[in-house]
Amino acid sequence: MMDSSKSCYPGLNRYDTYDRVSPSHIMTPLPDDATVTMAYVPFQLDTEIYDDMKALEEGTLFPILNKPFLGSGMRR
Amino acid sequence: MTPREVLMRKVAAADFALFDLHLYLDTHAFDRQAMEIFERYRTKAEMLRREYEESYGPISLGTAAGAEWLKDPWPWDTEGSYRNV
Amino acid sequence: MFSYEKKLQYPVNIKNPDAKAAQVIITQYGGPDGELAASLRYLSQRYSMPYEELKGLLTDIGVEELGHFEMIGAIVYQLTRNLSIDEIKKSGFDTYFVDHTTGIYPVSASGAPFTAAYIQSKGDVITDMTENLAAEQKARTVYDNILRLVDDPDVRDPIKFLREREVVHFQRFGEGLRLATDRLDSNNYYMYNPSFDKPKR
Repeated sequence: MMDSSKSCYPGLNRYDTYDRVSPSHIMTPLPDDATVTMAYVPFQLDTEIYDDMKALEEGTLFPILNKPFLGSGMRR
Repeated sequence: MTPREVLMRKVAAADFALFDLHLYLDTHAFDRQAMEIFERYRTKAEMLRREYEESYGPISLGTAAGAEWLKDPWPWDTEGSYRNV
Repeated sequence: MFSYEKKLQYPVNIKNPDAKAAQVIITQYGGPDGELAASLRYLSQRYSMPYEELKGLLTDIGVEELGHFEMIGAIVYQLTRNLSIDEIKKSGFDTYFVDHTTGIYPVSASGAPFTAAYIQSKGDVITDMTENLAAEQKARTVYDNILRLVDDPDVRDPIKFLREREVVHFQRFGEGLRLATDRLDSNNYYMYNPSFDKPKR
C-alpha cells in the first residue's frame, strides 16, 4: 500500500503531464473511501482568483478561501 | 502614501499573489493551468521588484551590501521616522 | 537555507501609538498560538515527513510564519514608540516596559515568556498534520479576539490579513493530510507510521 503515485482514480497518475487539467479531473473534494476515525478537509477545486492588489487586501488569492470575521457587531 | 509606499505595495501585491499560488501548487502540483499563471506572475513580480530596487534600494539580501543594504528605511520603520541618507 | 527580503509580506504603517493594543497583539509574537510558535512547529515537523508535498508545504508555511512574526514585531514596535511615561503607566504597559523598555521580546499577552511547550512535533504524519489544523484554528481565534479589541484601521488591516492567512493555512494542511491518507489504507490508516515504519508490502 506504499504506492506514492496512487490517486483517487485508479490507473491515473496525478503527476502525468496533461495539456490543461483542472484539479477536478484528478481530485475529488473528499475521497470516495472516506471513513470513520479520520479528519477530512475538502480539497480546493475552485481556482477562481483575485487580481493581485485585491488579493493582498483580502489576504488570499482565492475568493473561495476568503472568510472574514464579522463578530457580533457584524462589522468588517 | 508616498511614491515609495505606492510602489512597495505593488511589489508586495505581486509577490503575495505569487506566494499564495506557490502554496496552492504545493498541494496541487498536478494543476498545469495554475503553473502557467505562476510563471506569468513571476515575470511581473521580478519586473516590479527591479523597478523598486532601482529607485529605492535593495530588497533581496544578495543584491547589495554595505551602505546600499544598510540604508533606512527598514521594513518596520514608519514613513517620516528615519533620515534619508 | 534561509534568505531575507527587506520588506514585509503586508505593509505596516501605524500612525497612532497605543500601548493597550500592543499588550494584546504581542501575544501573536511570543504567545501559545502566535507566529513564532507556528514557524518553529512547521519548520521542525518537516524533517520527518516522508512525502515531498509535505516537506514543501511545511517549509513554505513555516517560512511565511517567520515573515508574520516579523509583521507582529513591526506592529508592536510602531504601537509603542513615542509613548509618554504617563501613557505607559496608565495603560498597564509598565509591567512590560520595566523589563524591556520599548524593545520587542517574545511573551504572551499575560507576560509568559515563549516556550517550546507551545509546539509539538510528533514525528507521525497524521498526528502532525492534525496538530497543525488545530494550531491554525487557535491562531485564527486569537486574531478574532484582537479584532474585537482594536479599532484603529491602521492596526486592523494587517491583523485581518494575518487572520485570513490562518484560514488558508488550515485549508492547505487539510489538503496535506488528504495527500497522506490517499497513500494509506482507508481500512486502517493507523496500521503504521509512514514517517518511521517500513512495513513489508
